[in-house]
Amino acid sequence: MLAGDASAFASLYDRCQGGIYRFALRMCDSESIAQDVTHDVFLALMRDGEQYDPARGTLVAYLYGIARNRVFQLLKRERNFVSMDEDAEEFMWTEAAIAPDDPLVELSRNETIEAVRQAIMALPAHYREVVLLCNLHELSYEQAASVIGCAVGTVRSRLHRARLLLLEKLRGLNEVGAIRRKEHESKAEDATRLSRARFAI
Amino acid sequence: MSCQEFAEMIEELASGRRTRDASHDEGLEHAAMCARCAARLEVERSLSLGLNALAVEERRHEASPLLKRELMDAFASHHQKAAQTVVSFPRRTSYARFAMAAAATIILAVTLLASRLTRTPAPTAMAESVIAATTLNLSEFKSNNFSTALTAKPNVTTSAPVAIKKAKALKPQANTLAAVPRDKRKTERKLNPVKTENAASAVATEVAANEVKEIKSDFVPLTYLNTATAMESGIVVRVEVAREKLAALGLPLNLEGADEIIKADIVLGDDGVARAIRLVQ
Repeated sequence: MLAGDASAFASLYDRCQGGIYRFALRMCDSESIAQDVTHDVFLALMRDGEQYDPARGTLVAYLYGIARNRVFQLLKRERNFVSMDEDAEEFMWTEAAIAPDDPLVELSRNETIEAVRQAIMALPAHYREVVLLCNLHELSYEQAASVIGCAVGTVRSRLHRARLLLLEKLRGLNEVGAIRRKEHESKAEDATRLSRARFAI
Repeated sequence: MSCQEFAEMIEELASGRRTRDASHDEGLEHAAMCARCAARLEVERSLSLGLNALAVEERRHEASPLLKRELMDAFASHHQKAAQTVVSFPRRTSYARFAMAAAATIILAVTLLASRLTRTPAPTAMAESVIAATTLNLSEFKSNNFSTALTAKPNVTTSAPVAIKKAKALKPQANTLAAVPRDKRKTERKLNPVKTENAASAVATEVAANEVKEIKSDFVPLTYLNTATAMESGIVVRVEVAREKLAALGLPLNLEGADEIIKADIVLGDDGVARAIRLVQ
């Protein structure tokens, strides 16, 4: 590809663009930014591809790394940057805070997908990226560590905490959903009573 | 296995990331004995299923096809530019040097054209900016001593510029000996020895007269050349060029009357690259 083989570049693009685009999309929650990030990633590969060192990780990890850096640059620029301070959510990580009930058990598939998506988008950026890389994009811990530029142990601990936080958020979403469902049911009951009363009159 | 150790590997157990090994089996055994850990494992599995479902759902999101087209165009132009750079400027020569070499090539082409035109008795040929070309035997000519080599009158095998002008009127073929093959010249002499000898003597007379009249500066080597381009033989081309063009070549000329046409002799190597230049008055 570096020698100018367009078909090799096209093949690489076809193989990797989806993952890069989706990663950027979920990190920024913006399709236009995700397009820009994908564009920038492959442009950087085109211009500075010789900087890629296979000894330091896979090409996929290299591309995700470029995408991640670009995403954080753009997030900083747009002042939507979420603090990387891990202690911000630290108070939640006690065993007592972990409820054993399954927040997804009563949801349909579509509801589950939407609930998980919302929960992921509500995660702080440094937790969100490990969930996206390891659970949605199926990168290994080593690859994710290479992308983020941290130790494998850091990836493990962040992922563990991120999943606990996800469950908490899903429970919160469930509770909100349950309240809404109850409100909806009570309104329906009120409407039924009202119609019965009218019929009686 | 303790509950703490189980908690550390629960994500891998739930997502199926952990390969079946001794610790994997130990983890499952712990979950079978500990109700709380078993419940947590079920929750983690449910979350993994939810994440997997989202991952499958997300696959429909892809970058726009236009983006691919844009990138392919960018890729093509990027590599085209790189290739052009390699072809145009080998060995990191500057653009100015390349332009000078191109100019010298053009001058050579004009010279050859002029020599062809002189074969037909067209009076307008005299208006050409290149007046004459003279072949040189420059075996001793080295790039470092242009000035001495050329002011010492190199072995000229043909006539001087103005003499050629006159010869043109007498016999067009005789004035550009460099352009005429040696065999053809011999044949011509054999067929018409008297006329050719007359022309030659006339030319010699004009040369002598002209060399006295003309004032020539020393040859100035064109400094962009290096010793690797030293020439073994070449030609001297008499040209008429605007003063500003010569100044652009780096000659120290007064730019007043920049359009004024002045005469100059340029030494061209076999490769068409100009090696030195002198002014003629």
